[in-house]
Order: sequence, then C-alpha cells, then structure tokens
Amino acid sequence: MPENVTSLSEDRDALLLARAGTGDFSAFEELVRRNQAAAWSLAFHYLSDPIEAEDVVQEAFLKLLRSAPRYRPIAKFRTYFSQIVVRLCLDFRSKKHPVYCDIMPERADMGSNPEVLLSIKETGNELKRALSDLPTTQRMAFLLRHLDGFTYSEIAKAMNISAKAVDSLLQRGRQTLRSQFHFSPK
Amino acid sequence: MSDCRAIQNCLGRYFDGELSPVERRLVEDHLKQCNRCRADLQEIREIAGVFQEGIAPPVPSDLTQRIMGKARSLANGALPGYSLLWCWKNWSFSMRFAALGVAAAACYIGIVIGSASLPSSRRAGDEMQWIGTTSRGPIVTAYVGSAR
Repeated sequence: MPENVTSLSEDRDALLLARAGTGDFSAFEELVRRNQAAAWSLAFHYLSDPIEAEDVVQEAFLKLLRSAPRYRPIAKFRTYFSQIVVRLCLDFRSKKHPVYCDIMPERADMGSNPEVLLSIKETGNELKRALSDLPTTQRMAFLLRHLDGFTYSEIAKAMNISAKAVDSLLQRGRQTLRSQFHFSPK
Repeated sequence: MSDCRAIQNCLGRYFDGELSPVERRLVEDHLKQCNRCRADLQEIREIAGVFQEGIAPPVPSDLTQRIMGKARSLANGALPGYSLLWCWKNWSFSMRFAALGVAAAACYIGIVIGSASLPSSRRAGDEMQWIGTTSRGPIVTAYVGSAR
C-alpha cells in the first residue's frame, strides 16, 4: 500500500465513511456532525439562501452515504466531500427551477429565532455584494480559497478543473472585484 | 519577472502562497521598490479580508437530525450491508463478478444435491419400460422397480 494511502486512511473522516459504508449509522452521524458546518458555510455563501443551502447540504450527505461503499481513501476526505458539495451547488444554480409539490416540505425553523434571522441579514452585506459580482465558477473558486482555505490544487480537484484554470478564475475574479470595490488609497 | 506587469500577474499566487521560493523572492524584491505593486497587493489582501469576515449563519440546530432522518429513510431498503439492491448498485465490477460466481456455484451445488436426492425411489436394476401411448402418440415411459 502506498505511503500516502496509509497516512490518509488514518484520517478520522475517512475511517468514519468506511464504517458508514458497512451500515454503521453512528459513524455516519459523527461524520455529519464533523462536516456539516463547513458544507453549510460553503453552500450558504455560494447560494445566499439558507433554505437552498440546507437542501444542498442534505443532498450532499445522502450522496456521500450512497457512495460510501465505493469510497477508497486515495484522496483527502475534505477534497472528496467538497467535490460533492461543489457539484451540487453549481448544478443547483445552473438548473434552478420551481419545484411543484402537494405538501410543503419540512424546513428548519429559522423564522422563530430572531438572532439567527438577524445574523443572516447581517452576514457580510459587503461579501454578498462582492459575490454577486462574480460569475458562478469564479465565486466558487473564491469561496473555496478564502472561506475553506483550499490550495489551488485542492480547488482544482473539488471543481474538476486544472490548477492553471483555478489561477485564471481567481485572477479574473480579483480584477472584477477590484474594479467594483473602491479602495481607499494607501 | 522584474517588470510590474509580470509581478502583478503573480501577486494573487504570491498572496495565496502558491509561488515557488525563487518566484517568491523575486516578487518580494520587486515589492520593496515598487509602491504601485505594493498597493495592488494591499487590495488583494482587502478582498480576501472581505471573504474572511463573512460569517455564515449558524448551522440549523436540527440539521443533523434531518439528515439522519433522510439517511434512515434511504436505508429502509437501501442501507449498505442490508439491501441486496443497494449492494449491487454500489459494488464494483469485480465484486459483482465475484457475487455472480458465488451465486452460480450455489446453484450448481443445489442442483447436484437435488438430483442426488430425487431418485430415491429408483434403485439399481430399475429399467425404463413402455407403459402405454397417449392419443397424441408419444410413448409414456417410467422407471419401474425390478422388484415389482
């Protein structure tokens, strides 16, 4: 077994996912608890909508559970799971259409918590403005870089593009933002 | 890489820590003597700062329960390790091939055991005898015990 595979297999998340693949629900629950905040943050900032973000996060974990029996720790779990979240976010935005249903789906009761509502409202208006100026792929690259601290190589894997393309996305994004923001002269 | 245009193309990667040590040193040498590039780097820092200040609202308190509820629904008939269909869908080609092999072997063993136990009424010396014809013509045969 290659050395990097051995070291990666020691990753707690990878082990939990492997156990989930054999039907261990407690392992899957721990995996959810450990990774839901990062997935939620990425989805929320990308979609700018808590309900849509929750849909994406739920679907991402269900996809993860479905793929658990096939998971092999040849890549970091973080990159593997980010690929799922990123793909769902990009698809969600590109295929966004109304969903008709007879029964209203259950949602997180965010409306009852004024602090949460205020938090959502105040969540970086400046950030929202900045993100809305960016095309979807540039926005995702920026979020992975600056929210999650991914390297170019990790972003490339998560978005299924080359590292050079990541550099190009970030560079063009910065140019757009610099033209939108009015920085005070230093 | 000493002119401003070349340096500015590298500033993002410099800020993100994606340059090689040699490239990094060239950029730093240039920054020491170029106000314009230093200002550009500061803008890149400020843009990154805007992203880092953005705080997502807290994760919905019942998100874990919702995910686990859906996961359990999925598992009712599709839990890994419990559902044959789930396993089949998620197994690799080699695992499917092995499963088919096991199934084929089990069928073969079943047939062998079954055929060995079936002719319990048949004994050594039994013969196939003609016992009559039907209106459609074929001869009906049966094993008839030699003791009879």
